[in-house]
Parts: sequence; structure tokens; C-alpha cells
Amino acid sequence: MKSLFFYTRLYLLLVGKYLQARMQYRADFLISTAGMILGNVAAIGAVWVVFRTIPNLAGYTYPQVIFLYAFALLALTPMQLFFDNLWSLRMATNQGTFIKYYFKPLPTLFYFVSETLDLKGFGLLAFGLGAFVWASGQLGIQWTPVRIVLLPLLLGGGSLIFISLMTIAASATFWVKDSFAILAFVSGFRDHARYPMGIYNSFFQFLFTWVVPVGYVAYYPAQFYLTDTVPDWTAWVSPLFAAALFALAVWIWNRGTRRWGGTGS
Amino acid sequence: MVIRNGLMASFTYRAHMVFQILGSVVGIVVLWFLWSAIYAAAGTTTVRGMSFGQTFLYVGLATALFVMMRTWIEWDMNAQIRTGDIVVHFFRPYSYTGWSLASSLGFVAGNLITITVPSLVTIFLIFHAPLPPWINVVLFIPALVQAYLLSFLIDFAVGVTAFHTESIWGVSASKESVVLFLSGGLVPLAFFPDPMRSVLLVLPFASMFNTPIALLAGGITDLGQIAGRLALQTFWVVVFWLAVRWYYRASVKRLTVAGG
Amino acid sequence: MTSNTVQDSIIVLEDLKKHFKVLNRSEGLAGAFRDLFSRNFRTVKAVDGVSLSIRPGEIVGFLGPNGAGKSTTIKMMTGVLEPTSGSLLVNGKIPTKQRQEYVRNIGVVFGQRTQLWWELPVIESFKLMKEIFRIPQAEYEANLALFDKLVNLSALYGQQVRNLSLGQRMLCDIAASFLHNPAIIFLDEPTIGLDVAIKAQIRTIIRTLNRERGTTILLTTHDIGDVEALCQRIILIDHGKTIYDGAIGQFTKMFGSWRTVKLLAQEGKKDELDAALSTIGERFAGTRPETLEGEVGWSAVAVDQDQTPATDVLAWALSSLPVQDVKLEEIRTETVIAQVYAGALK
Repeated sequence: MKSLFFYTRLYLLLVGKYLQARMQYRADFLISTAGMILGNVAAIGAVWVVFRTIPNLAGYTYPQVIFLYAFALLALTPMQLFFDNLWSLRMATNQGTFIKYYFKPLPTLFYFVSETLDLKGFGLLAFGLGAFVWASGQLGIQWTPVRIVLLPLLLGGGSLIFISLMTIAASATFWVKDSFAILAFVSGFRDHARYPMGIYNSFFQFLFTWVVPVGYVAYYPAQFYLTDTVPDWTAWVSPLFAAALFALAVWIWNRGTRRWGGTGS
Repeated sequence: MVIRNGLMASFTYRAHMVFQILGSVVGIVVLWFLWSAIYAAAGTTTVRGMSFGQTFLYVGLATALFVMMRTWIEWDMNAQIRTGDIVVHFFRPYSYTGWSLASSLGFVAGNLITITVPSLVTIFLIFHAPLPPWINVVLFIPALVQAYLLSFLIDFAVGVTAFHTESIWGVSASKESVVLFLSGGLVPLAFFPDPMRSVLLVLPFASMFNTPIALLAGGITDLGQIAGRLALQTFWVVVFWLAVRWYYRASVKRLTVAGG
Repeated sequence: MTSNTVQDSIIVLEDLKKHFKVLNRSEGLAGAFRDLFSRNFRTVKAVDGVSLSIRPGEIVGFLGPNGAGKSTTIKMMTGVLEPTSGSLLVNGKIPTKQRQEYVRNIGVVFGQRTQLWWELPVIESFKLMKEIFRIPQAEYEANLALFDKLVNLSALYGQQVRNLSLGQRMLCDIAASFLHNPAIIFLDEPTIGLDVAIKAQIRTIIRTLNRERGTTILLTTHDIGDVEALCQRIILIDHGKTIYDGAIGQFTKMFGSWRTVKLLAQEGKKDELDAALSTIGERFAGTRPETLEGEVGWSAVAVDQDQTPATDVLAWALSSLPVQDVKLEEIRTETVIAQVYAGALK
């Protein structure tokens, strides 16, 4: 795995230098993080208000809903932190500056996303962790060794699924010139990932499990913690599925770069 | 002319339009599921005085309106301030605020078609939400106009902060979440505990979303109440117009004094 | 047209084509709406059958009017675009098929668009290049020392790339492209918009590195100064096809009968002179006024002696125009190229 080592080291180097340069923008970091946190406070506030009037939602109590929400936030953090540059793809292709990514002996996706580390993601992480810890405490979850080992895998799998979906959406830029609408559309699904699947009818459950698999970002993995189901082999499905989806996303991206070729479509 | 350009920009990309419509529809559908589940869990037909139909209409309209009124002018302003292009407007014989308003309207008109209309169709035709009395529909227009003006002014204020800081994303995101939540856009104000509700109704945020929506969702039928709400809106529009104008002038002065 | 044997070539293009499908856009608001459902495409033949081969160590100039297909050809050679048909082999590889491996051995500079990291100091960008291309320390240091010797590059190391002037940035980008000792370097309009001093520095780097490392250089440019300073061979492209491919000397020889008549206007009379010269084509067949750069006060006329003797033009100028001095010279490369674009080779 010499290659993996090389890329990790290179990524840390690239990101390290990027952070070095961003150090001067401290105020920006604080304001952005505040914005990120406020947004989530408002969302949780809305949930709290609703639970003033109902005992549970589709069988889920307030702490359970918060747990699911926190799980989703944690799974969404890597996308925010590492892949935020995807939003700039359309600008790079329309202005032609994207062409520089072809000329280094690096995978274009890797090089492209390494250009930005979105520090707001740390705010998201902090908030998510806080909510996660609170909810787990309230629920009295038994942290067996299996559950502990599985957690990073499930979170990683969940994040990779969302990252893959966003990458595929962003890749549309290579064909359609401005995929902002598609990206925004897929990004909207991250909200849908926070609700218990029980609220949806069977058609939408199918949609969110097999077509736009946001169910696997948080809901299904969280089951191993919200219920007493002992994690068995089905737990591994989620991360493996995520890996496969990511491979597909990378393949689509690469087809896109071959098609775009500096023409600005 | 300026409005037409905004309208054209909204049409130009195929995928853009399709996905905006799709996104709006999916959003409304998810909201329907969510609130159905909430009402199912409550076990009663009305919660805090609102039936499921009313609540769904309310929240659906809030979404439709919120997205429609998203002008992104704070981003346009930010871009113009970063590049320095904004100074061009200082030499033109019209108000920069007025110009911004005009260009935002073109964009909004585009949104009207790609977002609001599909949302309204989905809400009323597909989900059979109850229609309100006709007087409410008529008064909805001025309520909407004032709500839009308020929304625009707040966005403009966020844009002005671009004179002072580069990171308006944080300010903009904070604004959006705070406004949406406190105005009853995420959850109808009726659901809030009474003391909070009374306070929130008076704040400008309610005037932005709650008032026009409440008119259509049939929450208010008493003409006296409606007049009161509209008057409150006008009050806030004036207050914000003055405040934002002052803020803008002060920021420009600071910029030109500093030799920007 | 080419005189190289395909075997020793490092770049070989055979009947290369690139066709694009472009949507025919309609006018106005209603039209834009209709376009959403349109299937009305036309084919743009950006590159329409280009064949050439380049030997290692050559410096070749790629010339042509805007939209002639130069950039598109370069993009195919650098692995950015896939050809529609024809074959393309660079450094023994098909550029688009093995991009990452292929790119290790080439350098590319697309004019005005930097490949350095915008917010980092120049030297940090170089260090990153070293890591990415896995350049051995000794080679890295030797190259940096060479750049420093040639153009005093170390003066720029500490500055952020975003703070450099256009010329300084180009210098750094070009240096960066040589850093990993590539076999071939593609330069797309490297001196456009730059002042004379920087242009000279850039040409020095290119010439020296070509001489010392034997790097093959492919250069697209509109600047005749670049061509005359660097290129031994030029390839002219127009409408997606090559219309000339050969040594520079031969090229100008084809127009051996042409002369450039240069006239120095009397004090304050330059505008009057230029006005009179603007219609010279109507007076004398085969003549046309030229714009000169860098020779203050001088105006010029190109004369095709097969149609009009240069002496006739001189005689008329001296007798009827406000002229105080004359020069009679060989044809300028620029004129030749302009003539070729205008169809003189057909």
C-alpha cells in the first residue's frame, strides 16, 4: 500500500499548506463556524418545539431522534470538510481554470478536492459530537466492543455514500456546464437523511434506500445503536456498498474529465 | 431591462430548471410525510388549534415562499464589493438599493415559475389542501409584497456586511436559519409554547413568513386581526428600510474614507 | 511536407481530427426557452486532419489565427482532449490513455493560467511539485540553482503567487514546468501581455534549458519576437489544417520577392503620412501598409516586387509624402504570416 501512504502524506502536505495560508483569516473562521452552529441550533430547536406536542415520531422518542440527527451530522462532516471544493467545480470549468488539474500525475478528483479544507466542518463536527454524546447518554446505549469498532466503519460508510452522491452530481458539470441545480438538489437530501424512515411510505422508503441511498447515511447504521439488534454480518453491507458507490462516482468523474477537455461545454 | 436579464438567467440552463422543480416537489412531499407522522403520533385531529391540512399547507407554503424569495443578492453584492465593481454604481444616477431590488425581482420571477408554481400545484392539487376564503387570497398579495420587501432588506443588509468582512457565508447562513426558525417557517408559530409565541409574533421575522402564510392557510379570518398584521408588516418594512439605508450609507462612507 | 522520419520522432500526429457538436443557439427570451428542447446541433471541425512529427530537442513554433485549432491540438497532445479520429503518440504514449504516467514526463504552461498554488509562497509551490513529481533532491536543487542563475528567480521565492505580477507569475510557471526535467514542454502563449524585459527572460530560460537538457519545446504564440528568438521550425495552422511546416528560413524565402519599405515621417507629420499610406494598395498593386512595433516615428509598407518595383513606391513617397528618411529591407516574418493567413499559399 505504498500508494495509499503516498497519497495520505501528500494530502496532509497539501492541506497543511492550505491551512497555513488560511491562518490569516481567523475572523472568517469564527463567523462561519458560528453560522454553521446556529443553523443546527435552529434545526434542533424546531425538533424540540415539535416534541412539546407529541410523545414520539414514528415510534422514535426525542433522544432517539436527536441521536439519529447527530449520527447524520457526523456522517456528513467529512463531505463538508474534505469535499467542499465540489461546489466550485462549475466555476473552474466555466472559466477554464480546471484545465490545470490534468497536468499533474495525480488523480484529478484527489487534486481538485485537496485544494480546499472547509474549516466550518469542524463546527459541524463539534456540534454533532456534542449532540451524539448527549443523546447516547440519555438513551443509555450499551457500548459493547463490537459496537465501538463498528462505529467508525458505519460513519465512514455513511459519509462515503453522501460524498459519492455529491461527486456524481457535481460531475454533471462536465456535461451540462452548470450543475449547481443538481448539486443543490442532491445536497437537499442530506436533510431527508435525518428523519426516521418510518415516516415515509414504501415507495419513498424504496427511493431512499435503493435509488438515492441516503437511508444508509444515517438511518440504517444507527439501528445498531438505537435498537437491541446485535450487529451481525448485515452491518458490513453498508460500508462495502459505500465503497462500491464511491468507485462508481470516481469512474463517472473520470469519464467527465475525459469528455470536458477544456472546452467549457 | 434589468428584470428581463434576471429572468433570462433563470431560463438558460436546462438541468437547472428541471432540478429546481424536482427539488421543490421532493421537498414538499417529504414535508407531507413528516407532518403526517407528527399528527399520527399526536393521535388527535388538531394540534394547537391547527388541523393537519392547515399545518401542511402552512409549512408547504413557507418552503415555497422561502425558496422563491431567495434572491442571493447578498452574494452578488459580495462579489461586486470584492472585485471593486461596486464603485461603478456610486456614479450612476439611480439608487443602488433600487437597482438591486429591480434585478432581484427578475430572478424572483424566474423562481416563481420554477419553484413556487410547482409547489403550489403540488400542495393544492395533489394533496388537496383546503383553500382559504377569497378575501384572504386578495389580501395575500400586499402581505406577500411587504414580506418580500422585508426579506430583500435583510438580505441587502447582509450584503452590506460584505463591506466589513469577507466571510458573509457565516452571516448569511445564520440569517437564514434564524429567520426561518423564528418566523415559523420550520414549525408553525402555533406550536411554540405560548409565551414564546407572543414574543415571536411581534418580531419582524413573523412579518416575513407567518403573516402572508397565515392568510392563505386560513389561520386568521378576522379582518381586524388581518389589518393589524399588515400594519405591523408595514411598520417593520419602514423600520428596516431606514435602518438598512443608514447602515449602507455608513458603510460606504467608511469605505470611501478608508480609500477602498 | 515534413522532413523528419517518423522513427526518431518524439511526437507523431497522423491525420488527427477533433470535431465538436455545438448547439445552435436561438435569439431572445422565447428562443432561449425553445433551446431547452432543441436538437439542433452543428459540427465544428476544430482540427481537421493534422499530421506532423517532431524530433527530440526541437523547438517548434505553432502559429495560426485565433480559432485556427492550435489550442485544440495542444490540448490533444497534453492529454486533455480525446481526438475524434487519427493517431497521436507523444513520448511513446497515447496521452489520454495513460494520463498520469504520461504527464510525469511533460511540462505544460497555459498562458495566464497559473498551475501554482495561489495562496502559497512560490517556493512552497516548488516544494509541492517536488513531492508530487517525486523529483530527487539533487535534481531539484540543481534546477533551482540554474533558474536563479538565469533570471534571479530566488528574489520571488518568498512571495505569494497571488501577489506576483503577470510576468513574474509566468516566469515561475515556466520554471515550475521545467522542474521535473520533462522530455517535452508545451507552452501556450507564454509571453502574451508581457513587457519586453520579462519576455527576454522567458526566452532565455527556454533557450538555455532546451540547449542544456535537450527538452523538446512546442510553443504556440502570436508574438513574432518569440518565433524569431526561439523557433527553428514553424508549423502554421488554419481552419484545423496545417498549411505550412518547415524551417523558418525557407518560409521567408518563399516570399523572396517581397520588400519592406520603411519611411520616417517629418516632425509632427506621422498621422498625415499614415493616412496617405492607408490607401496605397489602390495606387500600387501588391502593396499594403503595415503596423510597426517599437520603431518610433517609422511607418512601413510591404511591397510585392512581382507586381510593383519597390523603387516606384520609394520614388512616390519621397516626392509626395512628408518623409525625411527611408529604409529598404527584406520582408518581415510577420508580413509573411499575415499573407499566409490571407491565403497566399493556396
